Amino acid sequence: MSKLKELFVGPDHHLHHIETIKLIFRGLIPIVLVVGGIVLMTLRLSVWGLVLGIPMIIIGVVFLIYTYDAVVSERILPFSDKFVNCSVCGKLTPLSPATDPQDAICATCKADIENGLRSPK
Amino acid sequence: MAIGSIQRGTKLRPTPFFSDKFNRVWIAFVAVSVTAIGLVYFWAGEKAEVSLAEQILHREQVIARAGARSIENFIKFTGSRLTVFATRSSVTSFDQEILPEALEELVDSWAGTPVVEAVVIDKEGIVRFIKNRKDTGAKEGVVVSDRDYFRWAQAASSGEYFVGMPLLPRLGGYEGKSLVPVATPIFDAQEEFGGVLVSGILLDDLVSFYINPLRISDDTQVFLLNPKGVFYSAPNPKLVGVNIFEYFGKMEFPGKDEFFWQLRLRFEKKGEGKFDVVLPDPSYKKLTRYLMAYAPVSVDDESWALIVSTPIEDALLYFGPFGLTYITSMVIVIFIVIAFSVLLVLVRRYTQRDSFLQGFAAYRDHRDKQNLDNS
Repeated sequence: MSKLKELFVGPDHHLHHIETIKLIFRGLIPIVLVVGGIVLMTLRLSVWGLVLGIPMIIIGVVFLIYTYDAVVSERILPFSDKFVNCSVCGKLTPLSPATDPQDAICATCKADIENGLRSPK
Repeated sequence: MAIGSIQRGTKLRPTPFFSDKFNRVWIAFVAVSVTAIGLVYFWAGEKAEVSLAEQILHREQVIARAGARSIENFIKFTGSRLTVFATRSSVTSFDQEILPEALEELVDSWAGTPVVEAVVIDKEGIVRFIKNRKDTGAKEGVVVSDRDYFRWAQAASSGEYFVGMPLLPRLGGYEGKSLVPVATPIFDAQEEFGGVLVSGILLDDLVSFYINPLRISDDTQVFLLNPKGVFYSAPNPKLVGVNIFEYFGKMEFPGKDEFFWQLRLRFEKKGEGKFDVVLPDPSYKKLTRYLMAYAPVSVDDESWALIVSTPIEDALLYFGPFGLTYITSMVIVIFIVIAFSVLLVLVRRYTQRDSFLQGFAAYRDHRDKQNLDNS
């Protein structure tokens, strides 16, 4: 199963669909706000452009990045309760999302590999 | 399984988004950036609009000035040509057969110009011969001895011409249109006053003949007013003969006093100038902002006013390329802010992950070393 499919069609199909719909709305609303703000400003209605257009763009950008941050955190930050053995040294290491447990490498080994002190198995 | 103080069953969670000090600084940065680009966009747009309006007013001023000079010169040219024509024997003889042909030749030679008729009046002030393109309502045999041009001609010398008060024909093909008479005296073979040769110039045609090709847009309107503010020529025929002060005096609109003050100033100083004014639109009964420029038209001792007026919407059609540049710049800056923020989020989260993993590995190695030492 691909990682993308795993994300959207996990073991609990219903919950994943809800999450997907939520994500779409969380992404769509800020985009609508940004585009709406820009359109409002292009109408060159000084008062409405300043009073509504600029705040719409600010709120849109902030919430767009907030949503993006939530998605990125979900995909990058490691699990604090899932530990696996490092595929190089065999010591315990937290498992990062979208990482195959058999390919997990701890930070020490990763630094050593980058410095040429070790080679990946 | 738990390592140190990290709780089981949870994912590594960063500080709540809006509580994070870094995010607050970033939100302030976004707010300041977007507000700044929004203000710059409006400021630049406003500046461009003002500058464009100024440029259009300047163009209108040039059009009004050029039009006024053209009208003056056309009237002078017509007068000069009449003075020469009035000395021809075919005119001075008052011959019943030759004179009508000469008049016809004169009117035909003005084909395509605003000169629409030629009239010969005898020394008693009775209209003797008329030639015109359309019926102007003038009839042969009518007594016009009370007209200003006839009274002037009785005392005038050969080679002089006079521009009379514009007339408003109530009949014929030019009904409701101002017809300005240009007159010159006719002297017989004994150098005695024999009558008057008058030609009629249609002011509407005169204005459109010279100004229409110079108009900024199709909605550019041209008005010709006398020194008292009475319309001699206007796009709306109902305005001809109406006084501008009386016309606008009946209406209420913002800036009316300022407009009247500027108008009065114009009619007192008789110079040229510009207006940027909001006026009620007669056809749509709404307020419209107009850019107007006026120039004096010196005709004999009188100073008429030629006004060129364009609605601001038409003038701002030229704003398009500027507006597009400003909108594009604004959108680009907003997307740069978003792209920068996206990059910042990525860098921040990867750094956080690496720090966590490095901290975990350091703690783990330290604990293993301690276990080894203890054993």
